[in-house]
Amino acid sequence: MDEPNGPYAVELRQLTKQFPGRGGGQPVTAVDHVSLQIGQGEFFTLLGPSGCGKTTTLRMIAGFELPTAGDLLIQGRAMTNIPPNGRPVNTVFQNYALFPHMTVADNVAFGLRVKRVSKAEREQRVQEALALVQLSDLRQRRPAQLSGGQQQRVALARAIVNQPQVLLLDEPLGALDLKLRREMQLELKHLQAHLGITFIYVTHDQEEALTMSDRIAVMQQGVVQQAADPVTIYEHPVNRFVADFIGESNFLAARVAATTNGRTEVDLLHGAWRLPVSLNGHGAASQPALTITVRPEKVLLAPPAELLNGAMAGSKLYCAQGVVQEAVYIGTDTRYQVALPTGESLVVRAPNMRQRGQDYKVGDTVQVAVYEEDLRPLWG
Amino acid sequence: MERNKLSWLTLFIGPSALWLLLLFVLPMGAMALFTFRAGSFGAEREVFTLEHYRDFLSQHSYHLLLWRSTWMSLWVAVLSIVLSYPVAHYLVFRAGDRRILYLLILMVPGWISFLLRIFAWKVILGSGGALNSLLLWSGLIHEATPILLYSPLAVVVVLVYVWIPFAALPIFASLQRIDNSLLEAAADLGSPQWETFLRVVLPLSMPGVGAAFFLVFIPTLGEYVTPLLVGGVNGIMYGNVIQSQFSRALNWPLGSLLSLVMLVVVLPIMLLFNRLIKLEEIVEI
Ligand SMILES: Nc1ncnc2c1ncn2[C@@H]1O[C@H](COP(=O)(O)OP(=O)(O)OP(=O)(O)O)[C@@H](O)[C@H]1O
Ligand SMILES: [Mg+2]
Repeated sequence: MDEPNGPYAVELRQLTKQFPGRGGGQPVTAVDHVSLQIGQGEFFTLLGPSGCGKTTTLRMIAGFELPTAGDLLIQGRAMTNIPPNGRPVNTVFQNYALFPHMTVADNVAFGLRVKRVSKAEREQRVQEALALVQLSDLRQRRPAQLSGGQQQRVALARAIVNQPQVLLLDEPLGALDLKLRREMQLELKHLQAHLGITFIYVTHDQEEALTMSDRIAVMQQGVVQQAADPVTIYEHPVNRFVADFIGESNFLAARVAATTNGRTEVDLLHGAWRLPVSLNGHGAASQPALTITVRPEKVLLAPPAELLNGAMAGSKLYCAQGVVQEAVYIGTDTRYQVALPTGESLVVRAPNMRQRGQDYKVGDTVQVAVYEEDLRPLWG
Repeated sequence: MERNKLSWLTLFIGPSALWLLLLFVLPMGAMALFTFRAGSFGAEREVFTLEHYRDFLSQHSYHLLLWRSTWMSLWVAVLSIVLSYPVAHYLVFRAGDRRILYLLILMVPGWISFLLRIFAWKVILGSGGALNSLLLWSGLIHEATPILLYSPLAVVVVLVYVWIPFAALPIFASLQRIDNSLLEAAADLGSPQWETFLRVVLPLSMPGVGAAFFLVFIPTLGEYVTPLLVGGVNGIMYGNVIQSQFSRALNWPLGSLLSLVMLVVVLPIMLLFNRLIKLEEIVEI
């Protein structure tokens, strides 16, 4: 098959992996009919909670696990019968898997040695790869003599020196402390842009995924829930799982109140707010109940009068009165829990623009407000 | 502070140091001292002399025997490793969950008396034995002869047989320690299986190979029962001479000297081997 711009870097078609249950137990479906198309040069992230099948998906692409069903194509070529050493991909392992008996330089040279690249070219490429990850000074060290961050770079250099078409990274920064992880996130991102290699990146850290990726696939129990760019994933989650897993969300129960002239309106906060929603193909009759979600930072706390008076033309503002139940200071923001009279409660994140001491205390009565377009319906 | 540190050190190292002193250093010292005594008993024992050293140096047959025994032990050690390595490799990488069971089965012959197993080999190798019958039947030979029995080769064959399970153990342990992700990393970098074996598995199992080597080599060098039973006149080893100095000639000083010489021969071989496979460099990991 030929795409307009050549084949996808990696294509998964209904890819499925079942592990036999231990001791005659139920088989485990680690990856369940996953279909993904990953473009050339894309930074693609598999994101999801522990055990959702990220590693298994990556291992099938690398060739360490055979799919139970479905097809896998790399650069348009079917990979079913091709062993790991024949695939145009390289992996950065979570535990780095550096060869302990070899120096840094020998580790990096490994792939070129087995491909019988001439000594001169090999040395040049090893040198370049080590320079790229800023490890030229440590080339004669052994892995045991390196810090975690340095080992991580060796693993990276060992993979990219082979100039793979696709680089697979399984939580490569998982073992590093926060500061180093932030640094490496940026470095990896730059490196990817510089090399133009397709990255398939596994993480369970949603912030990392949002910062680094061109596109993210959010997985749960072996199923891809949503695959989209970070903004879409964050702003338009397709279901409650995605909205909950990526960042923080408020969920408000709603039910369909009226469908007139093709316009559907839903009631929430027991009818205090009536909101028009687009059906998006969901039948209102079959789905009378739905959830409305709103991000904590999109809830306005005590909005100024001019906003309430409708100064922002074109968008409706929904208001309610509440009582502060909890106020947690977290540096840039304060996170409030506000109880509404209807029994629900809203999490609100308000930036700390004012002096400390002028913010709200537990027990204060406050007004909260949300713009119509920030209230997002989740069906099903 | 300094005193405190010292007492802690004594507490921790003390027991093992004492152990070493009692079971190792003192007996060695006593043995070394004995090499200077004129005789084994009575008044002679109190006389100190270099007579035995002269004796040893002038007796060419001792040197020859030591040389040959070292060679035989090297062969036994190397063959045991070569034959037990594939077994250990199979157990670790192919046998799956059954590896421990198979390992136990490998050890079963070890529960049978050592002597009994040697006699079994006599039956196999001897003139009325299985090997002879087979060769006769196949027409390769026309007259029953103890082809193998009573030769250095018989000693080597029997000892290799005895040592294989023991040599397999440390190799098994070192292969078991190799993280599967290293093998995957090698495959991921394009390496076919045989090359992964040569570049990753074999080097990382060297500590086990080294341990197996010494486990076999050192006791074999001092071996005297097997040569006595299947070695014949040409198959005797250095250990037989030591044994006869103690039991028959009752020349304990010379026996001690012969033992000491063996120790002196083993040490450089150990150091050399250590260097070759860079034991400590791998163990440091
Ligand atoms: N070799 C295996 N045999 C049996 N079950 C397995 C095997 N490997 C993985 N699984 C199961 O498959 C599911 C997915 O595992 P996987 O390692 O892909 O998760 P993951 O998303 O990478 O999780 P984590 O973030 O914890 O690494 C889990 O339920 C796991 O227990
Ligand atoms: Mg994983």
